[in-house]
Amino acid sequence: MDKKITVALAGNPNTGKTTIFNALTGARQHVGNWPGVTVEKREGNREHKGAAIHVVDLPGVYSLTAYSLDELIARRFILEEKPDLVANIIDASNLERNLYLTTQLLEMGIPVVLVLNMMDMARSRGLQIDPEKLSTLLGVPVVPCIASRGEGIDAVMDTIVSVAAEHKPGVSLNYGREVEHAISTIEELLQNRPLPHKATPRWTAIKLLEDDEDMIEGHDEIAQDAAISEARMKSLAHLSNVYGDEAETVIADARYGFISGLMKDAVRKPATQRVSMSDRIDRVVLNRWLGIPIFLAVLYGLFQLAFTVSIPFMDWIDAGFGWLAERAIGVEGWFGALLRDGIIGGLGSVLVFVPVIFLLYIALSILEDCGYMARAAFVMDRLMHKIGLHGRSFVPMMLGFGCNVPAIMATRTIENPKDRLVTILVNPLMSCGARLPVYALLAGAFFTAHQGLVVFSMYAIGIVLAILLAWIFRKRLVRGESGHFVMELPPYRMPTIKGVALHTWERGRSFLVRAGTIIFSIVIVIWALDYSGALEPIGRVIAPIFAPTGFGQWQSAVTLVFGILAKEVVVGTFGTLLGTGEAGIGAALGSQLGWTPLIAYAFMVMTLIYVPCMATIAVTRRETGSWKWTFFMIGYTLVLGWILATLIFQIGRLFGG
Amino acid sequence: MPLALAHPGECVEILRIRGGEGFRRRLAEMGLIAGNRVRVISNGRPGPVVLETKGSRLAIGHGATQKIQVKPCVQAEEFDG
Ligand SMILES: Nc1nc2c(ncn2[C@@H]2O[C@H](COP(=O)(O)OP(=O)(O)O)[C@@H](O)[C@H]2O)c(=O)[nH]1
Repeated sequence: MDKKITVALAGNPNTGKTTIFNALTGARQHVGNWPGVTVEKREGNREHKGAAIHVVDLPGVYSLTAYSLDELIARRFILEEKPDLVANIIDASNLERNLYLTTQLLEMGIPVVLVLNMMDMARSRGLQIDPEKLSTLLGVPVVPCIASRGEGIDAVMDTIVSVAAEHKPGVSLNYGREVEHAISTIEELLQNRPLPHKATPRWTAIKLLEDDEDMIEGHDEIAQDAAISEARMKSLAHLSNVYGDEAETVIADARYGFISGLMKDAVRKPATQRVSMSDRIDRVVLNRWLGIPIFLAVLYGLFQLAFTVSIPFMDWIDAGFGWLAERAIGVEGWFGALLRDGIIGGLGSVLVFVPVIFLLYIALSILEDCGYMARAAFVMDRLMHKIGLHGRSFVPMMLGFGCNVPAIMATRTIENPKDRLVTILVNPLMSCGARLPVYALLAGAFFTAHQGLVVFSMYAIGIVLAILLAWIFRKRLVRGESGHFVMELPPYRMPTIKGVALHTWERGRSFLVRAGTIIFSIVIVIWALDYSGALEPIGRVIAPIFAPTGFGQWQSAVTLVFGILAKEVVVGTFGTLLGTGEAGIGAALGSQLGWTPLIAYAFMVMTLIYVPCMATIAVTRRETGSWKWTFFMIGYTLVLGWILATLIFQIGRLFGG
Repeated sequence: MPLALAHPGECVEILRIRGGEGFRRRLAEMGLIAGNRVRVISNGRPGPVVLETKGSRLAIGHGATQKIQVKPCVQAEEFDG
């Protein structure tokens, strides 16, 4: 007997490992224990083509982490005893999962033979596997077999003998530029020193980045080494910055990516089996690629619907106030002025938008009740992860489309305080229902052809800014690891009329109450100040600040100041100051203030972004418990709104807008 | 194996959950405790996994699917739900 070969059998449980072990070794088996533990260790011997093959059966495992005894035993044996090769037994009918272990074996840099067992099962499931392709992609020999019938066992032994002679490891997985850089940095520090379990520097480096328990806690000489520990911490921080995920997850993803590449190239699957209706909807709605486009389409359709359906209702209310205005023409003195400019012009122009706001609330309620809202959060999880938050922050953002006050209160479900703070800080950028009248009015007056698109663009700008700022805040202001996302998905349900009506009313009532009380009083106050001539001087002091934005008139300045009390007031204030009802505001802005579509757009952006309303400021103070962050929110929104409005106006002017 | 490797439709038993106190407590509140069995509804790898446990559906975020160690149930169709 000239050659001695040691081969370890590795594979997931139930892949036919025992069957193959028996077929390889026959009666010459020895059963003992792994050193120090009561896990059974089976060994056997065999002669084949002049070689003495020693076969060691490793415990059945799914991966080679440090989190189970079986996995530790398997990986320590491979590293420390350095068998000539590992025969990786794979259940061909369950290839994708089984290949995960394969990727980890390849990482160890040991020669591998891939034994594709259960080929009969794979065939009966309609899977067509191309062993040659698989072999090329993995850089290791692949032997198909059906162990229970003894088919292919000879080929397995032939291959074991030839691989042992060549002693060539398979391909080395590439984890992407950033991770590879981190690995090689640490690898360098590990060169020329004894490593735990006689592992290779590359493998040790990967485990250090994966926060491997055995490596970090079990081996102080490596993990506590000043240079290594520093390089490790630096790399971990850098990777989590770049990917928004822990290095461990990024590395696992690279393995999954590698496997799905293999599956695509080397395996053909039959069409998938039947699934329930709800699952079928989820597969489409939650799909990695379709999910976000579907969400955007739903959102867009919703706004379009709210606008189209609300037009006749708005016309009726407008007609009603028009009728009132005609009666008021005859009324003399200050009371007539109050009636015409204050009540009809001011309050009327706010109330006209009740239909559109209610329709938007109905749409939001339907989305919530039918179960889609939670799915949208799920879909956004990947994107949110990139900005350092997660899907859970998304529901409060969506609710912000209704009103930022309940939305900010909804952030209580976010358990990580830093995630919560960032979600609160960017929430005002989600355009609430109260800002809709401003867009609707200006878009209707200045952009007749593309009304819907212009209004949708406001929501889109808000979302993009919120995401961008959340990302910046998470990076610069409130650092720290973001929590993991776990959330409940309610079952799909047909929304009931009663449920939707109730939810719509909950949201809409506060708008009506506000319109009847706060907004009404503010409009009266504004009218009184205007009537007594006190507004103009105030406006003239502030107006120059807004000169670069195009809306530097004193009326616009006054409007913005009062808009802080409640955003609906913006429209009402214009109505009062320009002495006209909702229908006339657009024309009056053009003729009296010289507004162009460009200025109107800049003003809409300003209204979207600048200082949240009083109620939002109050709830922010209450929920964050901090004046510092409340003022920070006021400050950044004001500055950001001004800068963007200025940019839009100045750049637009260059292009002749 | 990590939960990330579970197949849609599969029943898995939770073996171990790694991570901070708060994270583990949250999962426990939702019925994800070592020893419990759940059914996997979908797996968006790399991305969230949807599971069914105690009659409700849970979405488990991308990072968390790597922290939850599971094994396939012995009897495929049986799960605590
Ligand atoms: N259909 C089929 N069944 C097999 C094959 N190989 C093994 N089995 C069966 O799969 C089951 C599990 O096999 P076993 O060797 O105990 O798997 P282990 O858990 O990996 O050791 C047994 O019932 C075997 O008879 C095969 O190639 N095809």
